Amino acid sequence: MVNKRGQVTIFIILAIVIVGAIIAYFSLNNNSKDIVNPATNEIYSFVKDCIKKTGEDAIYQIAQNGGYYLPAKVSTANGIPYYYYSGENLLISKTEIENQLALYINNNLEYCTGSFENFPQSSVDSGEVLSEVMIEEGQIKINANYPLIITKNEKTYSLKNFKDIIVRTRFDAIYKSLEKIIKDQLTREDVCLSCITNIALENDLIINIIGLEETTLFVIQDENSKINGVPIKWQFANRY
Amino acid sequence: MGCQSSGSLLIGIKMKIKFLQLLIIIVFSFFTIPFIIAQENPDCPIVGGHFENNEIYYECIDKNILTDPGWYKLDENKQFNRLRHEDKFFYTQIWIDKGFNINNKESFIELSGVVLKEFSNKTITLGFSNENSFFKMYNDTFANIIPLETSFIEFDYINEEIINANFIVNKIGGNYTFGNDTFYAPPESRIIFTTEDGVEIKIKDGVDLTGFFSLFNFKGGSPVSIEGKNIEFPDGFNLIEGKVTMGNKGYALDEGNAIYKQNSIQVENDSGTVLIASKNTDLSNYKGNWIRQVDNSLEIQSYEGKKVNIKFLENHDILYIDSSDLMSAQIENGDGLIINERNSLGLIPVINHISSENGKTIIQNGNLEFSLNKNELSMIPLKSSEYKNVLNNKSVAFDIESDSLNMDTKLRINNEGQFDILSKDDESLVTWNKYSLPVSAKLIDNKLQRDEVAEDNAIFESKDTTEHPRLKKGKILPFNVKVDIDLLELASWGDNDRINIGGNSYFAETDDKRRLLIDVGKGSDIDFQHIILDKFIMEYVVIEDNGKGYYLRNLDTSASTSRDDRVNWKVEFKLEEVMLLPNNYRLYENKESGGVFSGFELNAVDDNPIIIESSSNNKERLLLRNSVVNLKQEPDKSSFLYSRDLSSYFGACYSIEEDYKTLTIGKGDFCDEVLKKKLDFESYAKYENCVNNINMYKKLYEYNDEFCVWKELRNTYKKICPSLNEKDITNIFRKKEDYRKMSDSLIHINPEEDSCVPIIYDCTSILYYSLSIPPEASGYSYGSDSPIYMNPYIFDGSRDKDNFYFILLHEGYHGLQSGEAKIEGDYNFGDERTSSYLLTNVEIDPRVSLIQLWWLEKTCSEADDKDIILSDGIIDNEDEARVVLDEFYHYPRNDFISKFKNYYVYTMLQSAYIDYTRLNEKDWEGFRDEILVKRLPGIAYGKTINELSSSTFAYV
Repeated sequence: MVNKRGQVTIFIILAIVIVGAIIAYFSLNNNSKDIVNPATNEIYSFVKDCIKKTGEDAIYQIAQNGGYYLPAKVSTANGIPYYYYSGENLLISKTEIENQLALYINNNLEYCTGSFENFPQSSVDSGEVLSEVMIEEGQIKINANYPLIITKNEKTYSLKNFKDIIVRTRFDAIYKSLEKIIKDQLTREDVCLSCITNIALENDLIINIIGLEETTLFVIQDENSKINGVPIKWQFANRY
Repeated sequence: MGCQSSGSLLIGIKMKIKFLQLLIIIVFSFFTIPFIIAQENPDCPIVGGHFENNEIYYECIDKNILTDPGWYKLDENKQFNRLRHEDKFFYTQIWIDKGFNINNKESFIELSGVVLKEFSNKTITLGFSNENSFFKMYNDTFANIIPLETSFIEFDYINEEIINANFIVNKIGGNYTFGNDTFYAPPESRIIFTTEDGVEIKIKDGVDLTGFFSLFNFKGGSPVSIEGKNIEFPDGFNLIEGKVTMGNKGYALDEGNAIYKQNSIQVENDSGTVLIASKNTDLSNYKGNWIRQVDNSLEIQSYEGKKVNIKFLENHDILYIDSSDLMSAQIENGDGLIINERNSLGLIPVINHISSENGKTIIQNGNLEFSLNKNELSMIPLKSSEYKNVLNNKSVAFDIESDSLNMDTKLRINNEGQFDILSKDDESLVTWNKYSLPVSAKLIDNKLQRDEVAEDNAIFESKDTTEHPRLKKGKILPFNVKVDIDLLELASWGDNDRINIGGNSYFAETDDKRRLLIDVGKGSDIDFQHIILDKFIMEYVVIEDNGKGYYLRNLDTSASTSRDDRVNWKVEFKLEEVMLLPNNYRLYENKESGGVFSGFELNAVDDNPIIIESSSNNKERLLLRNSVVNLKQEPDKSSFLYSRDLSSYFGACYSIEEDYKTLTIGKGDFCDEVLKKKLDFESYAKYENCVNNINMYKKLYEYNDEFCVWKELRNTYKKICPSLNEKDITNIFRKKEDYRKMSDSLIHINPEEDSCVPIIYDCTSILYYSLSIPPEASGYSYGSDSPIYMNPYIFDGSRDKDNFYFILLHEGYHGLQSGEAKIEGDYNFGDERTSSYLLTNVEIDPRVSLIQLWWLEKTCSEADDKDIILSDGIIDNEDEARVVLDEFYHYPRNDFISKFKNYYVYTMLQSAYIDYTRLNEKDWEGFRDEILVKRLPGIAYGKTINELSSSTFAYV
């Protein structure tokens, strides 16, 4: 009797494990694969491509502007942000960079999607873009909330969430480098060239420094992270 | 034998030496040495004495008996015929002017005209009584000594050596031997010698010692110190001021400063002596600072707790330093440097830093300052106050390698103050540039060799660089040295600096057609006006499309070329047709042409233009950049950032990039810059020329009286980007406007409606009379729907039809800018562009409002903190404008006029008038008649250039 009970218990446990595994499999699959109505699949892909393309533009532009979409408050005349200003730490936070990337995408996505004139058989009404960007290792991940009402063949469909759009870039490595450079700078008055060189070596970056009287511009170039074949150039300024 | 009592002894001695004393007195009366003759059998050995008041006092002592030896006066009847030292007697026989013997050694000492100062049982001290006095011991003569009370020589007659001396040499000078070393003492120098400290010679300023002995053949064991100013030594050592000790290891600079082989060494109070070591000196156990320069190597080593301060001077043997270079180093506390020349390898010198536990090395080069220690290399940033002092200092090219860096890297600096930190594979890891120019430090590696080759082949018709040497016909540069780094430099459009191409650029002679292939590597967007090949500048390179392809030629003075930053392009030159100029003859150093290159004469190469090979995309870009006026309005005052780069303004053909650059004086500007601006009123254009030129322009440029901006912009876009249609172009500009809407710091544009405005080309325009103050503004627009005012006073030969068109495009684009025009929160344009003539500068500082400039100059010159005052001095609203205008009118004219020329004041007043009335101050005429005319009759009423010229100047 005891043995039978034991066998039943084992079977129950096995059943639970198998069912759990099946649920996990499908739920994971659901996360990585969009389920889209075939009628809107083309537009869905188009928008995702646009988000990716706009994300790429954002990466290039934000890097050029030292993490900012619009010029930072404390910046050079050319709008390059100061990260170190006479002993003060003005380094942009990682979260703020993510916000600035999202802002860029929000404001510029429609330049890519346009009026969906590439889909003459569909009528598309679009809402406001609200995106979220996460800087991850070797990439940024974009989740966009972009409500679309699509009318096609007298049927109406809606699309809203465009998730897990990945753009390869090494913002994480660049940001770690920035943190090191500024952190080191805050402890000293001179510029540690060997420290910067080590950072360049460790992260496989090229760091160009440009002296402009009191302002020193830094351009961190990542040959491993290119947008349309162009290396990312992250610019910021220090005033010592 | 025992001693008698002191009283009887005294009497006995007095008796015996009476005669001797008499003789001595006689001798001294003739200013000769007193002869000293000891008792033949003295009861008490004489152990010392001195001469005083023409009398000898001697000391007799028996160590066993006498406890109070005292001094005894010799009476005139006493005499010595010999002196005894312990058990040994020696005889003194004196022959005036002949000398005497001691210890029966013939010619051991000869003397004349010397006086006895002191003697002991071991030493005799002699003085010099007249100009002809001399003292000779064996072959060493001490003569030419000024007879001073303080001069003496003390010698040890037992060991037969001089042990102490102090005398001043007369105007003849002479050689003097101490120990094994003979020294030349120049006229009027003072020699001080002790066995302990050696010889010290204090020399009169400016003496040349170079012909007399070589330090590095110095054999003696006793050091010689020389003190003085501007004393030239052999071996390239020059004591500027201070004290140097010469020893068998070399010159030791004890204090002051000296120059050795163009190394200027400074010894401070606590820095310690610096030895300038001779070639083969073993310094392994030397405890002190030292430097040594042998053949192609300079070694500098500091000692623990000490420091070497060294400055490297022009014409240095190892480092390549010219008059504008500044390089120095402080090596301290055990650190060392070894600087090696690599000329034979065609390389720049290398500095090896040898670190120590507590050491530190600072190298100052141009306006850069590096600090090295055992852990790291750092750079000391300049403060603004320091910047001005070193701004014009050029740097010296070299590599730095250090055993301290925990990585296999080196730093390579060029002579433009740029540097690379390179990996072991020579890849750039970190670069430092000035003014955003690509680094070209690697360029120099081969430069030396190239110079030599060029020199050897005598390719120039004239080697005199001031005459702009040309290539000889049929001669080509021997570009047979394969180089894999960038030997191409580009001169920027701006006049401040040159631009060097980095990346993968290279050139080499490619084939038997004697073509030079230049492969321009990746880099940043730079336009350039001149190409510099190694040390040669190719002038005025222009890219042209003759219908068959794109051609680069160097005839036109107006055009510039550019390169792409993403894709390489190639240029082929036919070498014999390229105008070459030496590298050191730069744009901004051409004094003959007032710092402008336009004075150069160029080769005509129309028939055989230089061929450009490039991809189609790059052709577009080349055309684009060459052909379209710059609309990128850099805020910075410096022209090096002023790029004629359309693409950066409009974006690439398919890009929505936006340039939100500001349109005014930037934060990076300083009061100092404003104050430096010395307006050159002498070079303004002549009114008569202007009128004549207008007709010529009209014909030459085929311009209409109206310009439709959007139409022309679209045409330009289509030309540059043929694949874009009207819709695309409209969309681009809509996007730009959308972008601008997001920030109130940006001026809005209206992409929807065209703006067709008149082109005004009027020589009577006061505005342009003022704008013609160099550097000139090519055109002007008041903003939305404003006519385009083309400056008729510019006719410098550089303007052509295209250029004219581009100015119209540029100014026309301003005409599209409307609405709120705020500048990045710093200051505003004001609501109306018309007022902005007063309220702000327009684009770049040459065109700053004259009133604004006056105000800035005034506030800046009165300011303590010039950085802050610049922003304070910028008029950013109309209320301030009123205040400033009022101040301007009431400013003391006497001072003002003495500072500025009349027409400048006039134009300022006129422009002030325009703004004054626009600020709704109604009673301008009343103000003018009541106030202004009383102080400035004539000026107040002049409204046109004619009035100005006919009446104004007469009154002031």
